[in-house]
Formats: sequence, C-alpha cells, structure tokens
Amino acid sequence: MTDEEIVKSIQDGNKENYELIVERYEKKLFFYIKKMINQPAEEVEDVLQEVFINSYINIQSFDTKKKFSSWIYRIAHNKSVDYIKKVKLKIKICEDDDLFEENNKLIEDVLVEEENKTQVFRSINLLEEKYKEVVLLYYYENKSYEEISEILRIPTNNVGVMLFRAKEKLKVFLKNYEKN
Amino acid sequence: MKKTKLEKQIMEKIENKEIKMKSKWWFFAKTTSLRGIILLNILLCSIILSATVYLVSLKTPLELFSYGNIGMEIFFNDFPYIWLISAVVLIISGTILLSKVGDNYRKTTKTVLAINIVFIIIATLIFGLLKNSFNLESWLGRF
Repeated sequence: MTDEEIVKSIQDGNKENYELIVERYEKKLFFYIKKMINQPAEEVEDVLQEVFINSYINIQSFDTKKKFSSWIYRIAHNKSVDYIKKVKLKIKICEDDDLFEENNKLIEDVLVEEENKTQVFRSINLLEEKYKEVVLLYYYENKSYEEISEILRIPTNNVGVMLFRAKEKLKVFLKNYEKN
Repeated sequence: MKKTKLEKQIMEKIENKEIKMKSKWWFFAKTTSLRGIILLNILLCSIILSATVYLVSLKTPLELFSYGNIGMEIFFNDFPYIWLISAVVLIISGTILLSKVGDNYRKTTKTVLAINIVFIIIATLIFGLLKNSFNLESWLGRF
C-alpha cells in the first residue's frame, strides 16, 4: 500500500491506519528534525509528536494525487523552524560520524580532500539558514528538486540556484580553512 | 510488529478523540474564501484603475503640459495619487494572495505578478466595455 493510498483510507474514515503513517515516518522524521534543531532526543520527540498531531488534524487537506512524503516533511520543516524561533537557535547540522559516511556526494560536490570531511560539515553550519535547509534536504534526505520545492515552498528553479550558491560558499569557507 | 511509544501515544489520542481531524469542508471553505478574496481584489483593482484613467483624463489632461510650468503644476497637484496608490497596493496584495493558491509557490514572484496583472488587464477591459452599464462617470463625478 502506498502512503497516498493509506492517507486516502484515513480520509475515508479508517483512522486506525494512521498508525502505519507514524510507523513509516517516525525514524525518518526523527533524524530530519534532529538535524534541523540539533537538540537532545526528548526535545526532538516533542517536535515529532507535534508533527504527527498536526498532520492528523490537517490530513483532509492533503491532495492524494500529490506526494505524501513532501507534505509531511513540510509540516516537520515548519514545526522545526517554529521550535528554532521559539528557543532562538540556529540550525546546526550534527557532525555524527555516520553522517560523514552517508554523504560522500556532498564531499565529491565540493571537491575536498578526504581529510577535510569534518571541515565540510563545520562549514555547513556557517551557511545562511536558507542554504542550510536546501543542503540538508538534498544531501541528507536525498530529496529531489521538486520535493524540496514542495517542502520549502520555493520555486523549483530556485532550488538549483540555492544549491549551487551553497556549494560555492562551502568551497570558499574550505579554502579559508586551508589557508588558516 | 511492536508499537513504539510515539505510535501508542498518538493512536491513544486519536481513539480518545483528544485530537480530531478538521473536516474536508473546512479546507474547502478556506480555499474558496481565499479564491473569492483574490477575485474581489482583481475586480476592485480593475475598477480603481478604470477610475484612475477616467480621473486623469477629466482632471489632469495631458494638454496641461502645453501651458508650461503652470500647467505642469496643475497636473501634479490635481493628479489622483490616492487612486493610483490604491491600485498598486491591490496589485501587491493580490500577488501575495495568488502565490498562496495551489502550486503557485513553484512559480517565481515575477511570474505570479505577471499572471495577476494579466487578470487585472482582462478585468479592466471587460469593465471598460461595460462601464456605461455601471454608470461609472456619474459616480466618479462626485470625486
């Protein structure tokens, strides 16, 4: 059963199927929110619970012809941004070892030496929020331009432009690291 | 499969009706109201633009420029700025509202602005054709 089919059944009254949605997205969204807010697990769980509650309340507004994952990621993104605003944090991407291994594509794209991997992730935290969000969704969540456009509500063309600019900025930060 | 803590919490809240989904009609009413406001915005803007053109031709005809500095002074003093400013405000607000409808967020601001302006031009042309039925000239005579 696809996500959209499950949502259709929930919209038609089979509320118990919402459990399947929670089951499918709990881990994915936990890690996404963790990367966004960079807070302890308890805080992340609170935000995650809000995401699922909000998603359930508004599920009738979801158009089943569209992709559900983008819709729920949008809610997770909004809730994370609300949390960040509330506690006045800056989005900080975690420097977990696992993430280094998972994101070779980013390392390749910014053309750095293997030993500079750690610096890449430190440099991401120096980027402006709007660039960080795009980098996070593209490289960490493997979302397409179309999906990022839906999640962040920005024109599809802008996604590519923002990624390009983010990479350029990262290269500059890395060069500065090398110089110093 | 064993339920996680979060699954249990969420499903309990749903079963106990602590959280309820909003009805389809609530969202339908919300979308329809937004579209209605945009339509009203376009209509109002077209009326104001027609009124601006009419008032410019009535109060500040371009012939005033042939009278030199005095003519220019009269032109700029009597120009219906408030109508023009109102039209600009409505164009901006209409563009913001239009960008919130459907998949318009995918479009750039310039594209949404262009779409809004096209709608306004069409509405203004229709209004221009029907202005005699609306008796615009006698109504604007009061201003």
